Amino acid sequence: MEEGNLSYPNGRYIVDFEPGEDRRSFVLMHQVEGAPLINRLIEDQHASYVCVVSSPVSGYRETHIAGQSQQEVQWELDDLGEPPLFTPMIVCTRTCQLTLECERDGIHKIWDDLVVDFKAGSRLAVANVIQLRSSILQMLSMRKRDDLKEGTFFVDFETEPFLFVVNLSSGLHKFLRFAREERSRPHIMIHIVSACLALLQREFPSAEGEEGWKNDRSLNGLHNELNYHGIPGWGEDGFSPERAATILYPHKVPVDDQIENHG
Amino acid sequence: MSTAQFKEFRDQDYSRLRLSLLRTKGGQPQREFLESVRETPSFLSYMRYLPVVGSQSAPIHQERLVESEYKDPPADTETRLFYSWLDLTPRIACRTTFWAHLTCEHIEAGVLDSSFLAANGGSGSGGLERIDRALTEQNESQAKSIDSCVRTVLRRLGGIPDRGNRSVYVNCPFARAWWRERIVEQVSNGDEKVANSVRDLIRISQTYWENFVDRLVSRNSTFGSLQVRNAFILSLAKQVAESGNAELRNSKVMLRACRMLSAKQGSLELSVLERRELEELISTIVESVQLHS
Repeated sequence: MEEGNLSYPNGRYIVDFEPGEDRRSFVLMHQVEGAPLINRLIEDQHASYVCVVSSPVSGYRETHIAGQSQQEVQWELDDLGEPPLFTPMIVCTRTCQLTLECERDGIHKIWDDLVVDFKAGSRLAVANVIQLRSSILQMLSMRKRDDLKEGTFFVDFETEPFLFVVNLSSGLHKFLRFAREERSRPHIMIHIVSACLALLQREFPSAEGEEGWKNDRSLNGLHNELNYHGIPGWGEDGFSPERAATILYPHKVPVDDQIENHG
Repeated sequence: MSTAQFKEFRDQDYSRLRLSLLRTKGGQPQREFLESVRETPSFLSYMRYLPVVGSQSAPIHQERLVESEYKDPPADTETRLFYSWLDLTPRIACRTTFWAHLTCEHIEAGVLDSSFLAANGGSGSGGLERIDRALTEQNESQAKSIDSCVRTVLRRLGGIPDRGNRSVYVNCPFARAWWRERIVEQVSNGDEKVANSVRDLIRISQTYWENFVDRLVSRNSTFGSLQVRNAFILSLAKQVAESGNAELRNSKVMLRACRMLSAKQGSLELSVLERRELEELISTIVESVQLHS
């Protein structure tokens, strides 16, 4: 589909998704809007909803095919070396020949009355790749450490896959896990993000080479996210972890009249 | 599904050790590490401080390996290793922390010496010789030699997690054996004749294997799914075994076939095709590469 392109039908392909609580499944809701030709192909069972689940580091790639727009995909955790990538699409699964009608099929009039071959395997619509770990908050692994003095934490890392390991005293761990509505929680999280960025600056200054951060997909994604927000990379001059953290997640302060009341 | 928690070095500590060793070429940490690798007992005490997580040990190979066998195990040794590690899953087998720990256990059991880890590939210098040369060199390239030696050791131990995780598949002999034989098993589906031809194909040379792995683990893999990958390997293996076509043993020709498959996969989602249709299409690609090479 491509709005305004004579060669493709108009319309939009939207995919909503919901990760399963068991970390082994995922529900996708495929929606096609304003593309009657594709709906017709699906209804006639010439096309199906497809989701490719992959974990490149362990060489895993599996194609899931569904006839219904709500699709549940499942996998075995033992097959994956990292959080999986999902590529949703609508694919022609049976070769067919259709006579097109511009009114009925939502296509340009140059296609009217033409007989067109749809080959099995043709991708009719493709959504963006979904990667569960795309922001720094999704790269945090919060771990309780009973040996830490109450109210303290420190950040470490793992590399397979890359994770920030946030070691927390037991009270702090409990607070961050359960007191999600507390006003001080976001400020503590910003402190943690700042510490994570400082760790990157300290431990992963180099982009290239076998030890360079460019080798890691999550760190590449994070670097792109920083650049998107106009923040220099952690190996560059001018990088400030606390500034980067507060640009990504600004501290929310009380509005003026609340401050005056406090004053 | 396996729920075994195989023993491995704790990721945080092993990653930190690796990064610290790679930070300064020829620096004191690299020298101390190489000096320890030279002698098995000192290497084991160097590594002993690393915390280990998990509870289940993978079996230890029972026969002592000489350096050349360790660097490049014969096919039957790789097969035996794989069958003794049948309980492993891809999740654990793509981790450097697991293979590094298992390799250390083999060193501790006397199956191999720690100095083997520094050996060059093929008929290159032995590990002990390389370490001694690097540590005693008296010229400006010493730092580079030490660094190169340390990197070889880390790669052989379990791989260095690099782009796409390729290293664990190609540099660590134990991991390479497991992944190769897993592919043999998946493609052959119990057919011993097919298994032998697939084994011969992926063991043509280290370069052949490395080029193949590049295609396997990249995010934009040539192979849209396991069915496509298996059909491709099967077709190549059959062509090489049955027609004796020498050109397909050339990794450049194999890569050309991969590129053609990739172009086809770019235009069609091959994984939704019926098995017979997929096999015919891939055979056509492999045959056309032969004709035009």
